[in-house]
Amino acid sequence: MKTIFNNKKYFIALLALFVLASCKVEKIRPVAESTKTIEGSWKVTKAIRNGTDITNHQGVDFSNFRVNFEGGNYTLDNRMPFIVKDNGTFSFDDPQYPFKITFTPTGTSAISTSFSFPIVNGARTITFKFSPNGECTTNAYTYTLEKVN
Amino acid sequence: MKYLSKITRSGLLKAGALIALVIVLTCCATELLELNQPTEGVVNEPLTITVNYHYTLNDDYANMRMVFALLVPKGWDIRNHATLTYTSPFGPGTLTLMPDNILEKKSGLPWAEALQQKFGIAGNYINDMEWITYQSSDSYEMKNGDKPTGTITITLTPGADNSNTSAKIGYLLSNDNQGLTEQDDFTQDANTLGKYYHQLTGPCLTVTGGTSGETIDFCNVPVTMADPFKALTDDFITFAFLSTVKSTPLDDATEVYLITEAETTTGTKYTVDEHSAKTLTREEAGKIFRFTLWPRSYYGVPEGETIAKIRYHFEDEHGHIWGLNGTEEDITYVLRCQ
Repeated sequence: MKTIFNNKKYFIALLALFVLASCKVEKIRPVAESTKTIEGSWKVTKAIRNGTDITNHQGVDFSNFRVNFEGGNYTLDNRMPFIVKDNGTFSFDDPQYPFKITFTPTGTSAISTSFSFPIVNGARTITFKFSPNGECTTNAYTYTLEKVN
Repeated sequence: MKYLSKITRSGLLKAGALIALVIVLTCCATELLELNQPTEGVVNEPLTITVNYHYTLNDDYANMRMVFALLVPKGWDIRNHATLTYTSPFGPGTLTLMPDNILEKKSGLPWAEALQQKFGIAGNYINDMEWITYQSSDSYEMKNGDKPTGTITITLTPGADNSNTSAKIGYLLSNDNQGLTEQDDFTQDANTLGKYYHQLTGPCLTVTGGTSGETIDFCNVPVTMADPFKALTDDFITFAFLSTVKSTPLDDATEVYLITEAETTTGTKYTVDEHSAKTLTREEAGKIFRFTLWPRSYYGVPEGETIAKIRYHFEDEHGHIWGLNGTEEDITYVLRCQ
């Protein structure tokens, strides 16, 4: 009696089906950013307020502003409106949200903000989205920072 | 194969023309017509606006609701100061506030956001307005070819914020099935054919009788602007002098300076009144003189102190001044979050 198993092609196909069906579907978990990847001193190359590029506005000068990351600590040089006003610690401590960074200024409560880490024109940049007046979120800013050599 | 030889070129052309005509005749249309809106009003006194609507439907709808929206100054709190009704071939109805969880079809956003994104402040010049969306209280079964028409009546009471205001009210008609979409074979253009929505902006409505002296003018290009409209001590605030809007005493200026005085919530004043690099604006495209400052740094405001307002005017190298409504009085920019 000729059965389906007599036909080699069908048998191989069926075997392949069984093999595939037995594979476990593994969810790809996002990799949490290591604090080492943003180690260094960063300067603002672009500042956007509510969609308007204010980087080079008369009266705006980001040239001396620095955000420095070392180990789990950050410091600010020549402060400008930013997510935080004082130095402290930072972490990417929520694996559920790998594109969120949490700053904890010394002596005050933690504040989280979204960030991304794109490579622009071959250079690694960080982009932060935030409102600089604490709980008031009326105005939305985006800073793009590049590492200082 | 025999049949093909019978299809002549002129036959094809005729067929094509007929198909095109059929598309045009059966196309959708959504229109607002014959807007009847006053150009003057009084704070806290109701006024009536009417506008006719018309749909040409090119599909069957088991349930269709009219979607109608108003663009109004936020300070008027129109959600709580307007009633809207309509007439229709099916009888009269009421327009009720669109629930926040209902999303506009094309953008997938709540209606208020979708309208803000697509139309912005629709011809106004101060970014402190909101789109308020309504839907018909009843839904209707419609058939392809139906042309429902009627009148929408809006009774609104302007000036809940007690300010004298001039603003252009925006109007939007759509439906809940298609939202802000267009028919596939039509490109975006000014007319209403092929679209499932129609937006129009009314004439400038000036509301007087408010408690404050100044008029907040949304209607006309301003000579001076402060952006953002709402900001705090740790924002960047941009002040601009638009020198070509009208003739001003600064017409011959080569240098325009921003002269300011900031006052904290406790009454401390910081004045920057000088002609120097610290106050010199920069001329940008369109002869707009602009300066952006971060109050905390610009005025040396310590942490713990909050700036409540910035009074400002523009001055040229000769000392000619442009202030409030062109006088030498300062314009007041109030710092606030909401």
